[in-house]
Amino acid sequence: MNKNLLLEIGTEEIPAPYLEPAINSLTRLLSNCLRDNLIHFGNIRSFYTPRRLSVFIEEVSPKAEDIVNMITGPPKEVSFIDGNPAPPLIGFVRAHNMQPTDVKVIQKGGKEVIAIEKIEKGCTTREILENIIPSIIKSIEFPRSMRWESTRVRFARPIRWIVCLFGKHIVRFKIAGVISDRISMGLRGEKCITIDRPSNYENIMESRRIIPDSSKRMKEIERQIKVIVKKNNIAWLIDNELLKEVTNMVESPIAIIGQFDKSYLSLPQDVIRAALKGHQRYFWTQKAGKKTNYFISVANNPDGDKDIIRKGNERVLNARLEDAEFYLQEDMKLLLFKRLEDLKKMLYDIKLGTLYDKTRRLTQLSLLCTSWISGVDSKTLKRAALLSKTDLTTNMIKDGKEFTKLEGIIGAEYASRQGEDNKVVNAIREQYLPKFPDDCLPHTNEGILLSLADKIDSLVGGYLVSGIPSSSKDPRAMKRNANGIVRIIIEKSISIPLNEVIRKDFKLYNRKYSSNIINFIIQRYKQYILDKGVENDVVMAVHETDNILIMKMIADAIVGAGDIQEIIFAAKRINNILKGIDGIKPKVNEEYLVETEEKKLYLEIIKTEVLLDKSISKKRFSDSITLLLGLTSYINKLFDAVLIMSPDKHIKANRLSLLYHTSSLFERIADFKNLH
Amino acid sequence: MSLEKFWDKQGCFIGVPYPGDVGAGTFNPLTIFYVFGKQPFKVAHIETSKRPKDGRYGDNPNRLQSFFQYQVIIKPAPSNIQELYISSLMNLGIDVKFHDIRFVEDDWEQETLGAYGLGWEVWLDGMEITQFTYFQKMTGVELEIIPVEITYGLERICMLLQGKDSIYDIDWSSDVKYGDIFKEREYQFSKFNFEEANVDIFRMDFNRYENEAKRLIGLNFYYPAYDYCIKCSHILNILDTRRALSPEERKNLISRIRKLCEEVGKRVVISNR
Repeated sequence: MNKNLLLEIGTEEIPAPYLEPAINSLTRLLSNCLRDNLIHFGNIRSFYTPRRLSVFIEEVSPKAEDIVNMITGPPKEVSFIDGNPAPPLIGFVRAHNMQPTDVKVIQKGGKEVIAIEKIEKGCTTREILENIIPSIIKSIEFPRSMRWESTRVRFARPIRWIVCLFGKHIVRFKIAGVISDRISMGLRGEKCITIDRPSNYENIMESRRIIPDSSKRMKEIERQIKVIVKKNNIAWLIDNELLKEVTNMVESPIAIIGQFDKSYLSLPQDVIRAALKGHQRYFWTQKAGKKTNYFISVANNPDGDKDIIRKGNERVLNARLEDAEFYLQEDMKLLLFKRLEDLKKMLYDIKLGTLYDKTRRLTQLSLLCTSWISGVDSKTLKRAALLSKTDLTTNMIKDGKEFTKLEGIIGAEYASRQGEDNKVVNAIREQYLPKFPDDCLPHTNEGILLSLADKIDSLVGGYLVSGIPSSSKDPRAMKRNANGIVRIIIEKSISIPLNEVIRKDFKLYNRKYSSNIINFIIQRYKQYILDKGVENDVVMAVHETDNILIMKMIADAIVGAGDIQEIIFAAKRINNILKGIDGIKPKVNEEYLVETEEKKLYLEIIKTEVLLDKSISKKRFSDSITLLLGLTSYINKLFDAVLIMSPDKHIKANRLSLLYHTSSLFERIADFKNLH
Repeated sequence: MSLEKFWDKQGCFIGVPYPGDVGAGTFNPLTIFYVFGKQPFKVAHIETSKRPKDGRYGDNPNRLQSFFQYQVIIKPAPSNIQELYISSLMNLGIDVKFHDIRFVEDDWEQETLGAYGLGWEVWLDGMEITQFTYFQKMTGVELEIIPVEITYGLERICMLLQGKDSIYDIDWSSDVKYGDIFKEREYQFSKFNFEEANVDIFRMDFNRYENEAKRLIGLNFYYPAYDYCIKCSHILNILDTRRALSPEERKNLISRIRKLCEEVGKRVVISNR
């Protein structure tokens, strides 16, 4: 009869970010193991808390399927004498411990041979599990793992108990000195928990106030927080990332409200948020759109005294904010502008000079960018670039523990407090955006250019130190930087010949230009629009240029053009004639145009060419495509009525030139012949 | 005192604090010289830890440049060590039933010692009161038997026990407050560490001590050599606090101390065989 299976690995507290990948890997390994051993099973549920990784599998068959092996023996013709078993057959069956009556005759390689079926009995599921689970547990991977006892098994944190039940029976094995049993641990300081059978696991745990199901636990936390904020007439700043982390740090959550000292509300908001979230993992609240000094923490003890815990939480948070206040006071003693001197002593990279050098490059690069973008206040931009890296010398960033990730933001806060122009402040704040794939982009023009300059300089710098990153190794985050450049250019419609900026940067680094950077950015761009759903042939047909916005606009025009089959057909037809022929003169000689169709096409081309160039220079690529569509009927007529390969070699050469000229018009937009 | 009794009962021998400036109990020779090899070892002792950078001129209720730790090393780590630790808190008078005790991931690394371990900081109602670490490596050497290190922050625990919001308000004895003894000292040392320490003298000292350590290592006198490593480490912290080091220079000094420590470690391992 089928039975349910339960495996619970009990540990000391596993770091929150490790849990989800670990439970997924455990579930996968365990179900694969059953499958590979031909053991049938039903639904799977996974549970985890910081102290347990559990998998529950329903309806597992009690033993593995039998395996039938066909073993072939001697040919039929030598196996029988007058229908009776001959010595080769007798020897064969004896070797396999069977009777001559067990044999069959089967076809093999066009011959009849003797064979026997040998049935390999499936082992019991319990036996298989006892043998395999220890190695499954050992193969769960963690970002970092440790040893803690003499068998030197590695796991994220020490394994302290294991529950493994198949139906009512214990699946017995030993790993890292722990023998599996049916005894689980309760909350700290509480009695052990005996699990009688797998199907009762979740209920038993819940009756002991442990919520092993992580999504249920998350909902419970949300429910409690909602009750609290309603009671206090405030709103919580919903932060799903934090909610998930908090969920993975507790097994028996209770939400508690607390207050920090109101005077700290004058600290920069990002600093307060970092103190709350980054270290203490508390939720912040607001009232009528304004942040309050109320916060919500989630504790792990249902019996805890809420007042004691609240007091403790408040004390710690106040001390952290006091730290921030200390950094702020210290930092304000020195103007950002005066910190430029300190940048001269701080290395950006041992091979790439100081942060001051970087600042100088950024200033020049971002100013250079203004040649292509209108509406930029270059005085603002210059000031922002000059001050952009000065916050890296502040205490808040250098020593501030959870505040160190606020680079740019701290610079902006300080600049604002020191009376810098608002535009300068914004550009400093936005210089690192976007920091991750879905992060927001810089809004201000100055911020956009500063961010572009910073990313290009980091890309070139990264390249000079470690080359173009491989698919797996990217220590200098070059992909992130290139992706950021692509997103800013496309989503903010920045038309800029990147190579001029890159070339300038190489010069500022005093190094030789390499086209690898622009090619790398173009590759990232192609990936970007492929991800957006543009077909591969369209992506590939657009000619590469260092102005990736143009590439995008042409791709959009092709995608949006509706029917371009006529263009593709014409382009392919021309290509079929032209390919393999060398020495075509690019210029058409009007004297040799004899037939009406070629004369007409030529006239049309001359007309179209002017309009086409105009549309290109105005970046109206849909117009360009319409113009090309207009040519196709003339091209078709030419092919239908005129023999290109005329016996007269002058006429033939001239017709080839005409086609060449026509195709060059297509090529100005894209490589249509390779579209489908 | 109750911590001492508790760990004494667990079979630890009661050690003494290191007489010089150390950044943490981990630097105490009682840790460094006994975590290698296979023989069991249990020690517990108080330690004065000096972290110049954490100085706050006596203003911050929670941070000090000099504070007390209670250091416990047990090798091999017992399987019920978390429960033992919690009993030790109960023993101190912290009724864990009412509090929120959490083991929060904190992988520990001490670059100058070439040491690293995995474990947690233990939070009591959000406050970090203990560092709990299973050592994996010391002076760059992979450890044969894994010891556990428990480091209690004594001032913070006292604050909790006495319900004080500031370290300086702790009743250090029946009629003396912590602040009476240490506040002025905190101020002066903060002033010294951040503003007054003579950078040139410390730089010279660093080089002299480094050379002396090298010479002693050459003579295979690893105990005295290690004393000089500790001195170098404290100087590094002061120079850093004085903002006298560029990131590169800091890295360079750290790796120099680390090399010395690795040499010491190698010799301890050899002598253990």
